[in-house]
Amino acid sequence: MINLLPREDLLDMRIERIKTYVKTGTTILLAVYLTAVLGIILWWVYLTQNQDQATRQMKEILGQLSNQGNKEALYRNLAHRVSIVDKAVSEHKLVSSRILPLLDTSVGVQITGYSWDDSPRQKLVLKASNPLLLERYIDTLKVSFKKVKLDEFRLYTAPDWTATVIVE
Amino acid sequence: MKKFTWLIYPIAVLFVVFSSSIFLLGSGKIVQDMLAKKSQVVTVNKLKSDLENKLNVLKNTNAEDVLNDLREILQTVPAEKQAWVLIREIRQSVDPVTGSSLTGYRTSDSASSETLALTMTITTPDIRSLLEIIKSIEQKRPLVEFSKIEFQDGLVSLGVKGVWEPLLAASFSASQPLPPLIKPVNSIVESGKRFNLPTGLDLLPLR
Repeated sequence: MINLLPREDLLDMRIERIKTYVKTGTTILLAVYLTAVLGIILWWVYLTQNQDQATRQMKEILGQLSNQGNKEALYRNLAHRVSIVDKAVSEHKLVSSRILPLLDTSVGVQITGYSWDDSPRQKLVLKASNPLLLERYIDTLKVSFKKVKLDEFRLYTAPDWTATVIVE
Repeated sequence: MKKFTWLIYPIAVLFVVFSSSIFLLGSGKIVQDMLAKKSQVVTVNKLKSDLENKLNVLKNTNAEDVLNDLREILQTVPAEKQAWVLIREIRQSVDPVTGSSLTGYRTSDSASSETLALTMTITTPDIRSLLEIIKSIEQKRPLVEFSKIEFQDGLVSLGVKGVWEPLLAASFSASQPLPPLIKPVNSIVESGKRFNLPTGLDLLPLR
């Protein structure tokens, strides 16, 4: 196709086209920029309002919590006491379970003395009419206790024999 | 000159955009402030939510029930030294055992001491009776710890410690979170069922 317009008119047309592109591009840039700035400002306003509102509500809640102070003190004491009691119950040592195995098999043997001082060690003073009964009892103790030591074994007053035994 | 007047608009826009961008974002302070603000808002909202939960817990908690629970578990570990209660407990355990009696007691610590330690003197026919007494004491509340047992020909010297712990002083701020109940009170009471609840206070000393 043959362009019949003069050369100047062609140049003017190109310049006009460039002007349009530049103006449109500038307007789009300005619109995007203003939108971004507006967005940031609105976000800031939203954050500030949200913070102010939360702070205000928090103060109201703190006021209400102050009114519940007595109940809170009770609740805290209960929580504290629950952990104390739970610990005390779980750590409660049953001393009877230490003595029980000593008695189960004491046939013909009398335990006349016993001592324990919050340690694994227990001391027994035994009495029997026959040393064999003492021996048999001491042997049965070895089933329940890791360590059984005969401390003293003698004829006390005939016919009674006594033995002092330490078990652990 | 008139030919270039159309350039004023794009140049002015570019100037405003770039200069304000450099002003706003150049030092990075605005961005930092924005992020700090966001973080503050998150923190405040979290705190508010925690306080709301705490308030709901307290509102749904009946003070009378808490007081009853507290009274119940104070039976197991009292808030103060109760020497007479401890002596009563021992006596209640000794008396029903045939041929046994509590003949004396003395404190093992000074009155100002943190511990409640007593040495009890008991007469009992044999070690089986002593075991019966010890089992009975172990099942009583408040809890009693044994520190020493000496038995010789019917005479017993029993070292006992009363377990106690003072109540918490009420110093806390409303913003502090509530401590968790590590176990429900019911389960604590259940686990302590083997400890019989002594009925009523009998502060009479030895007969």
